[in-house]
Amino acid sequence: MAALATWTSRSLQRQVRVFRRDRLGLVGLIGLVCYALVAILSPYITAYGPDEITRDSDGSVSVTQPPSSRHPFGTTNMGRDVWSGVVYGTRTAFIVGAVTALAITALGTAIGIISAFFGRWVDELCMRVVDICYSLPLEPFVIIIVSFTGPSIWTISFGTTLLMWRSSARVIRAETLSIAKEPFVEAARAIGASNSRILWAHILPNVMPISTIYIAIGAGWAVLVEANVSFLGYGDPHAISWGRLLNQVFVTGMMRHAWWWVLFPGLALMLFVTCIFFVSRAYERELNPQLKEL
Amino acid sequence: MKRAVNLAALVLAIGLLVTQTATVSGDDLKPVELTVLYQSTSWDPIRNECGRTLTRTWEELGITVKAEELDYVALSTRIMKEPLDSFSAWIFGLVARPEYLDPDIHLSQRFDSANVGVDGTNFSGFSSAYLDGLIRAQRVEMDRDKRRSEVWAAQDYATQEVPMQPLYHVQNAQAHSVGRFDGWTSMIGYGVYNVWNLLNLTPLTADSTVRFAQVTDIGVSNPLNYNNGLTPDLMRLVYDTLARINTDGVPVRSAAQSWETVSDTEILVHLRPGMRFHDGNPVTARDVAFSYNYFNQWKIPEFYTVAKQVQGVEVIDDLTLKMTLVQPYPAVYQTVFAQIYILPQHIWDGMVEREKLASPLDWSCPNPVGSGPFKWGYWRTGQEVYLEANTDYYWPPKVNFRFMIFKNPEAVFMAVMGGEADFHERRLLPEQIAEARKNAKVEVTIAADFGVYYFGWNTRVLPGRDSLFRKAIAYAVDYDFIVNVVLKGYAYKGASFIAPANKYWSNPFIRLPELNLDTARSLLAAAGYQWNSRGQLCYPSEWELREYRFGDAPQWPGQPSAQE
Amino acid sequence: MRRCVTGLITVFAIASITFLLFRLLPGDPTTAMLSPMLPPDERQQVRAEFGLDRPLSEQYLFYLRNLLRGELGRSFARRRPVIEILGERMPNTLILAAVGFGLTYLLAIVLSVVMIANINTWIDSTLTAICLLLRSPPVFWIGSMLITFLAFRLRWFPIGNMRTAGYPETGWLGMYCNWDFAWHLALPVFAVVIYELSFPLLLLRNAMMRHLMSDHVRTARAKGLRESTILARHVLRNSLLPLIASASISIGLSLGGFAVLEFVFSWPGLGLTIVEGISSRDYPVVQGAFLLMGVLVVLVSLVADLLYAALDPRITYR
Repeated sequence: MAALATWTSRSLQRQVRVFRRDRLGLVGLIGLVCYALVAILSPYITAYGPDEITRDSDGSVSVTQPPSSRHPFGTTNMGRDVWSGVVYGTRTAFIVGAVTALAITALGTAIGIISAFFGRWVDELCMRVVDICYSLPLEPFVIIIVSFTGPSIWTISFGTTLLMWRSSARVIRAETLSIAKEPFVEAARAIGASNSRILWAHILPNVMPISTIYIAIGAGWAVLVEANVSFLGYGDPHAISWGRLLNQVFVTGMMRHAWWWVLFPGLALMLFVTCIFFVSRAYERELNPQLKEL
Repeated sequence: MKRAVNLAALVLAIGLLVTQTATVSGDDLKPVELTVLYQSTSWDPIRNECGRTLTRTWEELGITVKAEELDYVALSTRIMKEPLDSFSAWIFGLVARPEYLDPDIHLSQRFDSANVGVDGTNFSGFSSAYLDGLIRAQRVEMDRDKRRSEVWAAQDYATQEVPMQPLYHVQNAQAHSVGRFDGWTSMIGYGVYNVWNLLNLTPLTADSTVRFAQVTDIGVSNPLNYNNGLTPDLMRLVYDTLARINTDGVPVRSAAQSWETVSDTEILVHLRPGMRFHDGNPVTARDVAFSYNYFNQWKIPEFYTVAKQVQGVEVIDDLTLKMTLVQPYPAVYQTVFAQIYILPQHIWDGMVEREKLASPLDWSCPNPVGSGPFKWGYWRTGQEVYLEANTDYYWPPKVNFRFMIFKNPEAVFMAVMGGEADFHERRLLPEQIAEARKNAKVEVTIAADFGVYYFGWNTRVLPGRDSLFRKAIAYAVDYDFIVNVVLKGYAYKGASFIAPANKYWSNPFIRLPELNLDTARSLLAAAGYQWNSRGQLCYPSEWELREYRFGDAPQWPGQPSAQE
Repeated sequence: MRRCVTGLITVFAIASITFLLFRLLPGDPTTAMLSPMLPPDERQQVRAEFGLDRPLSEQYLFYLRNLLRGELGRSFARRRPVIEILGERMPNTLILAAVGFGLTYLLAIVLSVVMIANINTWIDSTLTAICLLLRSPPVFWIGSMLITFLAFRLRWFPIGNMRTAGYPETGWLGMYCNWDFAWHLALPVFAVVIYELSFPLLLLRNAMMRHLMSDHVRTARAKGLRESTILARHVLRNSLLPLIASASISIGLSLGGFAVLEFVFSWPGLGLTIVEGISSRDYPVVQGAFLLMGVLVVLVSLVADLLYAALDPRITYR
């Protein structure tokens, strides 16, 4: 309990420090906060539902209209409001990002710590598994999984997690190795603390900050993978996502005409991921200047 | 005493009344839930939108809809393989091919109860003795007018019972290049990708190769392989058939110079003299007899459906043969004569043994040799197929043919727009039609298409099983939206499985209802359906869903059924 | 040497995972190798070849034995041995990857020198921001934008495929070694470069910055060497090491994205084979292509490790 409290207060202090130093990071953070607000306030900032067929004042469907005051991002070929699609897509992005990122981090941290802590053949085995995960191509893997189970944001997250935990595992392992050499851990062992106590009370809290970097990075990757997979047509048909919007504009042959339908979801995606990258970079520079891995 | 009895009787009566109303209006009503399967956006954005439209309207009626978007393989597997009750409704389409101009194919494949079951083509599971009788009668009816009245009666009944409801018939729009070739000929059901077009084209420039852009590669260069829709079209350029279907959909003589009916089931065929295969060997009646027997012997899928109508082929002399049919079959010229290729016997006879294969379908057939208007040039897998004009053909083409593969439909369209290809096969999307019209380098041809795009009910399970439900929901299809918004006006409202463009056979008197949710609701209510407190549509109580609503009453030749 | 062994173990593991992955198919576990459309006698033949009616463990042995023989099964759709199809497609992906990444690293080296020379000026920070921005859009978006503007609107490049159809050359050399191929290669490579540039660039920049501060370099400066010589000989050489180390990782990451890139550009490579295979349920091909991609990444990392060892005499492998 006490460990958690200290960790929380320490991490909050850290947060402030991180962002005061790195301007880009601050920009990223503000961006993400804006996105979060959009996601939360979606029903209030949109006039139409994301799937709603909108009609003009004369009752005809508002087909493929360029941006206007009623439709700030224009409409699709079926009269759906692109602004609503982008706004509600933020929710899906956050869900996919958050779920996958947490899963990746949990899995990666767990394996990294176990691998480093127990050493020997456990370490060897875990690192081999990481190597294997690095060799498997990500999008094809996710598409194969989705083709078995049917497309949904959960299966996509699942598939992504199965491979993406690899990046955090290596780094967590390195970090655990260095922490394990620290005097306070030696002291704890000398007193006779059990392995699990050392793990939970000492190693985990110190490794957590690094994990948070990977939460951010993992979220960014997850959103990109979902976009790629949706673009190929294997995305969740019931979820509003930016990737799906882009798939629709591509498939209906409107890519070269309805520039608004291509630009805005693409921009939303791009800026979202950029903000995540800025934030994660800021964390990285703060926590471990030696870390080269992005 | 008497008062006590009266009181008791009164109490009992009131109690019964109360419990009756309680069970009827109580919440042990079963809500109507259905699973609808339709095309994913990547497969067909138009039918995807139709699926969404249907879902929206049905949800307005209070039905709980579970929508599944599937790709081609997944959807076909669901409606054709076990278990056959995992879905309530689905959307599909019947592409227009000239062989389908004869009504027998659509009627028997979709509605004949003999085709119900795993791998059967009657996906709806619809079984009606009356309709079966009509279908089987028209198949063997040699009097064309009498046959038409039977075909019309079948359509009428199908429209009334609506196991499957047509949604729209498209206008087939295609674009082709301007200024490079002259003589562009459109054909019913195919647009410009048809053999007559290639036979009529004359080059206007020095380049005499006409380039065709397509997404799917042919898969195998074996003519027996029907694995995607385009392979037989290409193979029909390389191989010849006894008859071909002309631009109006009428079978005309091709390899056969003439034929005459000897009896109801026997046809005497005279071959065109002087025909040669691409390797120089002459085409004889023996090759024709061999081919027909080969298709039957090996039960080649897709071809076998029509080949099995032929009981045997007897060689009279080099250029004459007598074909015996299993039963009288007026559609024989359209279906059998126009589809079964003439294979060179000297190549295919004994090939299976020589190559040590299990079936001729396994043969990679690297250099197909036929007697058609085009000779096989080469095939660069995944990239292109090149066919050379066969100058020995009785109607020699003036162009060579290049079949180019692009990996996505957008690239195909851009290729034609940009001049990298001369024409394409796939129908233009409504948005693409507008763009193509503005492009001076291409010309857009629009032809009425006799394909049918429909949604069907799985009549094996509720609610599709209840004919009164189907008839009520017939009023819940937003045809106006589908035709004008989804298809941007480039389509016609669904009428019948024999499309209106198929003028002779289509029944012009049948009409599907317009969208009217009030009518739908009142019909549902009249059928005993109710809405519960949460607004969900619920099934009638058990005693109302009696058998008479599931089966069909009359025996053919029929009396009108009890519902009418 | 040890690296080779670990590499082999990894390949073996990849093969096993691929095997397991495709046996997890819902429904009949033989669907991975046996098309439901095959006639019964053919099914028997394939069953025997792959031991599909035996228990899973025996199937595994069959699978491995077939792998060693190069037998990956037959494609359902094309009826050809999978290995033939992969053999045709693989060089295309290899060439795209080699040219794409080669150009990326070259550009990264050049630009990082520029950034270091102008360190902490606005050039540096703008380039950094642009870098991170370029990494963010999904690769298909970059590809589609390039096609729409450069290929369709301006007609400077073709819209896809590898060669203009109807090319007269036959044979391997003829197909690849000419201008038409290069013209078709340009846009996809462009997309790869745009997408991949940021990581190596930032990596190099950070590495070089650290080296600039190191004692090593200070000594060299004290000795009076020219700045450019210092940059070239010491800083750059040492910074290449972490770049090579990360190369295998980033190439592995990107190879997955090649599936989408090849789709957009109609480029007939391994990634596209997987996408097409999945949509037509042609599982032997997908299985084979997936396996091959994994093996490729292992090979790349092996090469990278060897290169690293060659360049850095300090590292020896036990």
